[in-house]
Amino acid sequence: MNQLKRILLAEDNPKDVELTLAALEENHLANEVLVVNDGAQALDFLYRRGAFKLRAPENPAVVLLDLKMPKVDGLDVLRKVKADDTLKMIPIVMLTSSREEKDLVESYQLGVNAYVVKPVDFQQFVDAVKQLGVFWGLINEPPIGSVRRVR
Amino acid sequence: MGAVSEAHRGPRAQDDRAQEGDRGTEKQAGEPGSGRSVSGDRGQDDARSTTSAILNILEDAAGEKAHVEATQKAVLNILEDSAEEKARLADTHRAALNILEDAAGERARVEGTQKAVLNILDDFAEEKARLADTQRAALNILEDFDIEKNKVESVNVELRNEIAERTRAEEALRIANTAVERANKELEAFSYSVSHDLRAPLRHVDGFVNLLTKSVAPQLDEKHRRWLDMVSESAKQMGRLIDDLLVFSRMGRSELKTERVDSERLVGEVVRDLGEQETGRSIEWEIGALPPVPGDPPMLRLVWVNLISNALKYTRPKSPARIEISSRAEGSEVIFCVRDNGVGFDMQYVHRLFGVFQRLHGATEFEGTGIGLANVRRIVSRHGGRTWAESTPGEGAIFYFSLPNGKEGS
Repeated sequence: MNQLKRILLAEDNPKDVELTLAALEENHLANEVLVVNDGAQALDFLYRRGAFKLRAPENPAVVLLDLKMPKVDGLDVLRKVKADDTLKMIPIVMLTSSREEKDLVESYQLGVNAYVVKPVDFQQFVDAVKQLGVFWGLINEPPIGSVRRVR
Repeated sequence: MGAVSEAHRGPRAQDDRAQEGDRGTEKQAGEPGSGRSVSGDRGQDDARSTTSAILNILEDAAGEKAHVEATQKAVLNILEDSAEEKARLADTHRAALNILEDAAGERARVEGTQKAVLNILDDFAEEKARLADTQRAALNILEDFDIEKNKVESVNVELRNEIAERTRAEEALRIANTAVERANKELEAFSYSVSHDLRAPLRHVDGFVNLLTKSVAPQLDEKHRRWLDMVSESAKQMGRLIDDLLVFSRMGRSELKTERVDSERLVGEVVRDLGEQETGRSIEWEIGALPPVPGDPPMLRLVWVNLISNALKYTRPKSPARIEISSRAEGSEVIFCVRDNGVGFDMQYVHRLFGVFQRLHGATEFEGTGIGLANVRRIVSRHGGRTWAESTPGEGAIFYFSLPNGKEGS
């Protein structure tokens, strides 16, 4: 926890974590990623409690959330964050396998900032994650109180 | 009656008085005889006796006179009594006459009353007859009532049975609905799981094959690279099949949101979108009048996309390709028709045409998973319509689907 990371990735599947990191590495953004393995850990990080009690107070520039995770799923994390005045400004991107309409609708109703379906085709997946990383990690100006980009 | 008994008493009272009179007469005759006495000197005696006799006679005559007077008085009394009696009789008679008169009046009154009573009785008889009629009518009505009541009761029983039957049916329906709802929920959970969980490993297969290919490609020979490509290609194909299956499943279970669909506009948009992708081809379109129909817009769009993209796909060897889209009204339905001059199909396999993942052409010839026409059939049938097709191989195919026009009674 020494180094502040700008992207929080909540993903329970290690293969997906590795592929996502591989895709982000193509833009040299892998080092900017902090990985948590479920929604409970994601909330601990955001609320600076548990294992993340001592982390620096800045918020990540973006949270990439898998929908289906053990314990607390992505929608629950999204609901909590968007209902909390101190956290609701953090951009949240759903990064999920689900193309189900109800997940899409519910995510937007809860105030998600983007919804990306992971393509089966790896090249498409790489392209999608690359664009995500570039947009949220480089192009988008995050809210005040976020980790600043080290130039 | 009082007058009659008075009349009887009258004569008897008269007799009583007559007997009293007779007794009085006997007493007076006996008294002179008992007072006479016999003396001594004959001449003198004679004279004396004669004088005495004359005296006696005179005495007797005086006695007789008194007697006669008494009798006369008695007679007069009797006569007086008789006049009184007569007057009384006349009174009685008058009274009797009055009574008789009264009796006659009474009789007339009685007769009148009797007649009136008879009339009343007559009326009574009539009334009684009428009452009997009424009673009979009432009885008939009651009988009818009874019959009616029985009918109503039997109808009631039928109704009760029907209600019980319906309640049972509703209960069965409710249970069935619950089962359907549960099945739908399970299906949803299933397809969610398919969507999320089956796709993830495929993504990993393709992802790591891809990473492997990138890092070791220079050391691999052509054959090994081809194998890796085939692994990757198969993973992608399975991903497409899963996606298609999910769409097909969604077409079957998602709720129909019916509204008026402008067929001409919809077909125009689909033709434009799909036509734009067919660069460098010569395509002749002929689009006729297409009436609006009630339906779920995204679903009907999918029907047209599938039929029109099929027409484009299977006319690829033809130049120019000719695609006609038309419609005709038939009863309460509209029949839409997409005709092309493409490769067509053999009519002996027409029954397989609308099946899931059924294909009448090889994958190398024409790409596709074989889900399109299955979706068309499912969507059209959910809208209450039918799908069918005709073809002559090498000359083209005609695909039809019918939809209810939404106008009642036409």
